[in-house]
Amino acid sequence: MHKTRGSRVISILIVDRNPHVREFLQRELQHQGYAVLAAGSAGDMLAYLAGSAAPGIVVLDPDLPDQGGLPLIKRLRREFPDVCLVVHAHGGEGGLDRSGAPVVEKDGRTGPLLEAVRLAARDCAGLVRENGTEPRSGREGRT
Amino acid sequence: MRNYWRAYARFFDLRTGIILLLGALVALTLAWAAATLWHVQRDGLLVERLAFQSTPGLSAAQEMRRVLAALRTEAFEQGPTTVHRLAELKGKFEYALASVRPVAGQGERREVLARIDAEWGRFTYAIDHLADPDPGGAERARREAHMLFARLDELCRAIAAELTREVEDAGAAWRERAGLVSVLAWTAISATVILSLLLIHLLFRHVLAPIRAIALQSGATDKALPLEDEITALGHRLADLAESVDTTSSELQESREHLMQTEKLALVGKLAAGVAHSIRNPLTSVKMRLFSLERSLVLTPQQHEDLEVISEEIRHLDTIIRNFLEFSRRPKLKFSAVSPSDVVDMTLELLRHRLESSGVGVGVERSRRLPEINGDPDQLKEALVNLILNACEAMTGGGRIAIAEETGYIEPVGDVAIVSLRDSGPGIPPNLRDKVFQPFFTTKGEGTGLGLPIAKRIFEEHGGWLHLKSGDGKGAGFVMVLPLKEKEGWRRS
Repeated sequence: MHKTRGSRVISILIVDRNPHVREFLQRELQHQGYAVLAAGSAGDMLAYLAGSAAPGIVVLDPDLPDQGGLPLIKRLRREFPDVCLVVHAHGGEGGLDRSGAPVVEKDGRTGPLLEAVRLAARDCAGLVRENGTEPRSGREGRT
Repeated sequence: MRNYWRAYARFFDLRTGIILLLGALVALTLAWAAATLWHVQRDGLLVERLAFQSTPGLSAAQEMRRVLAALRTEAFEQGPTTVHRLAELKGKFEYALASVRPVAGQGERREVLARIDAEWGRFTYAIDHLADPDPGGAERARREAHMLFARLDELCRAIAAELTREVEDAGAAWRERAGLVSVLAWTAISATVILSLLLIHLLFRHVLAPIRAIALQSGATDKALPLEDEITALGHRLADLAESVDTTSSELQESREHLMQTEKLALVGKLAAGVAHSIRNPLTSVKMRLFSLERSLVLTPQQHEDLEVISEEIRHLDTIIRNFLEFSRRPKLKFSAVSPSDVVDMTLELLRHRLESSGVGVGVERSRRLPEINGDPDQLKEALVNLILNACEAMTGGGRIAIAEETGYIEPVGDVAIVSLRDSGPGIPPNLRDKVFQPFFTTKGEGTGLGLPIAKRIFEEHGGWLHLKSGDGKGAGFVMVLPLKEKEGWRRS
């Protein structure tokens, strides 16, 4: 059921401050066959990305309790250039369209987000690292 | 030294300087007048003495000498009229002697006069005996008369000489005093001239020139005109200034109130933004779950209606939150050249479905496309959307919106584009006219009270304004004014 590239499952990291949103998106994306991790803060996200099971795609709402906005996105792209980023944010957040990453408006509909993730998986899967394949259920849903 | 002069300058301030100079001038004039008075008085005394004492005394003394000489001649050259003539001359001498006595009979001269008196008695006696029949007696009398004549003449000469000296002394004294007075006069004249010049300098340099400068400065508009009278001009200027201070202070009061209002609004906006930001996140979560439910549930029509209402209300909440955030965040304008006519067309296109579903028809009155302005098309569109939606919501059951475009010239902005909008709704009651642009004021059950304030702010950020049209007839009217881009460019007010 897991979506793969070759024989590898594509792993996605959902970053959102709201645990219910995280859980919901995790569920939706897992239905689509991705391996999904979740983080509730920029710190957790960076820890995941620096860890051994680094995901290939990050779905990020940059409104986070510790750091956020355009500076966080820039840092992400600078420190982890291999990671595919999908920005999932509320409308009217200034400057996010300048991040260079696809921006999906966070209006409650999951369709556009799933489409953006599908495109990212197609375009970026070649960049997925060898060790970023297996979902680690123990860390899922961490808040 | 500098400090000394500073202290000096502080001590002699302008007021003291003027008072001192005026005082000195007055004192000088008084002193000069007193000196002149004294001089004139002394002159009077001198002239009196000369006229009534010395001069008549002197001429009387000289008359005495002349009469003596005539007596002597007459006495020694006996002729037929001798007796008669001698009596006449004796009378003359005695008259002259009598007239000398009151005017010159003081001090030593009194004794001299007494001696003359005595000698004269003897002399007349001797003369009377010149024609003595006894030749011895006649000869004696002759010698006696000779001797007495010489003595009398000497005494009269002494009196005349003394009186002459007295006149000469008086002249010398007068000359001396006149010299002193003329020195004093020249000194006083020079001192007066110097003090007057100083006073004039002080008045011009420190009083009139500054007044003139102030008058000129304060009335920069008629600088070219000569100032007929600085003080009058300054008076006018001060009156103007007082008036403008009045105006300024009321303007200041107004702008202070405006500022307070703005600060209050900014605070409210910040609060609203905070609340909206916090609510938005859980609301999104709700929406996600709701859409998920919608997808997966098989619902009865009643349940479906419930869900529809929930969705509708959530959309409404979303709109409110978006308006709140927009109102408080003030997005930065992205300026470009755009014709307001295009903004109107784009907005109507955007709202076509909404207008159709509300049963609202829109008529645009346009003679030609409006010239370009410097503006943010998206923001202007949003402002217009707010106005049109506001009109639509006011006209329940449909109606008409009339939009008119024109250009005009308004001081001090210059050339402007004017877009007016009028609906056929119930209009705005007079008591609410002041409130429609206040944030969070709404008469609608589902309004946020932010649509019109946002629209107003957008026009103001473009250097223009949005006004409520005076309520004539039915419906609500709005006038939007935007400065045109051309020529001198537009100025932000």
